[in-house]
Amino acid sequence: MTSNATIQIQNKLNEKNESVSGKIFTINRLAAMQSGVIRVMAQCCELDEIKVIPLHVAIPDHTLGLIVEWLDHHKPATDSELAEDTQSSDSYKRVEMTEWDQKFFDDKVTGAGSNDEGLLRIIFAANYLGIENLLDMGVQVVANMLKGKSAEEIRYILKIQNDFTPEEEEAIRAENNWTE
Amino acid sequence: MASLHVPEEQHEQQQQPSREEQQQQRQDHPMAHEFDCDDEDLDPVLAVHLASHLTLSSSGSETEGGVDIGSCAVSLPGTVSPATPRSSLPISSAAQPYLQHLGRTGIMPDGQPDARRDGWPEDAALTLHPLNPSWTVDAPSPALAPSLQALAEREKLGMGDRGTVVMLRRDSPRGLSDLPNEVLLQILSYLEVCDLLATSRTSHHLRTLSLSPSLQRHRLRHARAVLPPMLSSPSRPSLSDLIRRHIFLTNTTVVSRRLARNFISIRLSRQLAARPSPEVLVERCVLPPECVPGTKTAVAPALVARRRAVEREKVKDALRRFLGSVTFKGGVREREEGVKKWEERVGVGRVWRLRRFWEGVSTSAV
Repeated sequence: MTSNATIQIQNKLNEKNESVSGKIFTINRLAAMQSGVIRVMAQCCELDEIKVIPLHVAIPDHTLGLIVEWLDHHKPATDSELAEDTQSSDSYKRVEMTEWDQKFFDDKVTGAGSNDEGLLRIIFAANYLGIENLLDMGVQVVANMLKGKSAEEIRYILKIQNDFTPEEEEAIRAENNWTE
Repeated sequence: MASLHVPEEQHEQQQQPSREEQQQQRQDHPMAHEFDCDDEDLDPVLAVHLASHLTLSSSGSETEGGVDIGSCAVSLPGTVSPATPRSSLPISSAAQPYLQHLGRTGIMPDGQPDARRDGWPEDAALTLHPLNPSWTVDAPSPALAPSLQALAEREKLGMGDRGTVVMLRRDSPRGLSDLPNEVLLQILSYLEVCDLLATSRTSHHLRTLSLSPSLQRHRLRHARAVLPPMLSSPSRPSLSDLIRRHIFLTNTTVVSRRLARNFISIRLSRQLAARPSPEVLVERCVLPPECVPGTKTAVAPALVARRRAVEREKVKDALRRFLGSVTFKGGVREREEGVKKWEERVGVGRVWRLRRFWEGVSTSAV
């Protein structure tokens, strides 16, 4: 397999949702291999035979395009580098976000007036496609949104319904009294 | 696991049905409908699970009832016994990492009961389509048996009454809190204790997650993994460097600082004693006379400045009143006019002299 080989990913076709249009994305093989799912597929069968990988996840085209862009930017140079990236079992290692990643999330994911929607979709898609590093970055973005916020602010950001009764809330407040 | 092999044997005795027939049988089978979440999207690995589970659960109750178990197993695409010549691609061992991945994303059971199994979002089932028409799948390997068992157990425990098994469909995720648990835990693992306490006060679900022992253990392990390299990193300033930058205080620095402070206080008190008295300062016009303690004054020394300000205001008021009474501009113009007239009458002023000179010149010339 040459390093220039490409893989095509076909998005799921959903007549009800026009943002999921069955569009085909072309991506470098090595870049695509950052996805755990595609990597396992490559191990299971001869990837050369497959021309188009059909996805069965309703990822909007826009999100999938962003993911392809991210994968392209983080394309490992060689097979060994890919193996190094993906095989590292050190779960305490945290992925460093470069300036490019920061800009990627700021401008394209959380920006563009889509507030949390875009970020949410990226995280979901990264989780399903098994792109560990992208997932980790998305998670870091969310964690940075939550840092130093009060419970009410976090509820607003994560769109959580408060399901505590007033008595429970009082009990928790008494419990955490020492922090305030 | 003996029941697993029953359908295979039965199937071998049968004629290999065509794909259309399989589809037909699948539609007809009453049990099959339970699993019809996303028929054509079922991936082979998942299909094996479903098929084997189907046989597992039905073999107990309905074998005698004449239900065609064999057709259940056959009805799902690509389920072929190992003995058939079509099993060209042994997947059972190769698919293991994929199954682990599914287990991680909460799609497949991995032996651990999922605390939030009804919270699976839509699209949780990422399915890999049969990759090519010749794709065939082995019967489940013995290694998969425990997870199949767990699936069956879970089904019996209560997921069955929902009528769906693996793929629970739900509306698309609305908020970030709809993320799967492991992603939420990953988010929480980036937060500090005070943030975790805040998240624990938002809802029951997040409270369970943010106070979960596994998260705290992860945080502890992370700290253990991160701290030693930070302690031994070359960018960490040395002790002598810290002493030089007055961040670390040795005993001698503390003592020398105290000495220096005492020294300064002694010098200050001496200089205070050497100050000139107020009388001298009043003589030199540095202080107003009211400041001298002994003198008889109308106001207290502290009010001297205020009194002066009031006096100044008084003068200003008087001036303002004066200016207001005189219509300033009109008055000036009147005076100017008066002066001009007087000058004209008396004949002083340069202009008048010049004019008279030239008049004199012109009359003499005539």
